[in-house]
Amino acid sequence: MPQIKLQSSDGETFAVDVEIAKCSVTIKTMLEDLGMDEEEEEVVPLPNVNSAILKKVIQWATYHKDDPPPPEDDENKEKRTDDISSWDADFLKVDQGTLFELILAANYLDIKGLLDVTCKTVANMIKGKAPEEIRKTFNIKNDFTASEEEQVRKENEWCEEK
Amino acid sequence: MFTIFPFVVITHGSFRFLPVEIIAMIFRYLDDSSLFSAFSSCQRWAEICRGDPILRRRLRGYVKKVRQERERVFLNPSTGVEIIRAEPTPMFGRNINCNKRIKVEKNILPKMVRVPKIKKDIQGGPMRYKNYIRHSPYKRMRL
Repeated sequence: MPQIKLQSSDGETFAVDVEIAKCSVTIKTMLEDLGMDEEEEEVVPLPNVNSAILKKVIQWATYHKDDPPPPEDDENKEKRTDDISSWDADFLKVDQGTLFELILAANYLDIKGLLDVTCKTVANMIKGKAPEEIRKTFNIKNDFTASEEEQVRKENEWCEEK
Repeated sequence: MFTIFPFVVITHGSFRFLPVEIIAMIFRYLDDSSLFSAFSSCQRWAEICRGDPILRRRLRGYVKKVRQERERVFLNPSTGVEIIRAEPTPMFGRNINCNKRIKVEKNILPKMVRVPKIKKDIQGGPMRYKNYIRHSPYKRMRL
């Protein structure tokens, strides 16, 4: 099987099967536009992804290489977040920093499946939490003025009493 | 360098570095009440929610629903809000109704003022509609 070399931002090179690399739409488009030379050993530089993250992405893509392409989703419908497979859930048991870097990498490489599953994981971290808990979870500073916050609190009271 | 600026830690692993579209994409996975919590977490998230057409529509619908629910609870006599006095109200120098925990109001349905009959005034036209006064339902919620 032909292989392609991917170079991370810190210079490490990974040899990956072309079929696996092609689940990234960015790489797929690049290969289609430029063509592949069998003899030449070209290295694809990925300046936005470091080696630890690229390793994770390749691990994910290797596991999901036989998946059918994800269906086009309806934007108006509320999407489900509880359909994360157990392998993905284990795979994404990482710290927040790694998770956000995975999201950025999936966005840059245009891997829809990985982007979806990481976004769902973050959404699950937000779900069912009060604003104060969300700020604590993601280390966000509260920059609302007192009157704005009072108004928000009043609205929330009514949501909770129902 | 780190001894000079120990608080500057360069990492992209933070919510701050995610592009706006991705944060909006994450928010689209939330249910309405969680979306409202996210909306009220910080200014940037609120801006993102206001800027995204789908999130904006959903938030508007949610706030409207909450308001309607509030009005339904207030105005329905069966679920009418029971107001129980916790402290006596000092009024005009003395305490009136100073029994604690007395039920002050049971339901606060708006009551119609008797509508005066439409009289013809001198010019012959009917009186203006301003005679139809409705008490605001919130007026009787005195504690």
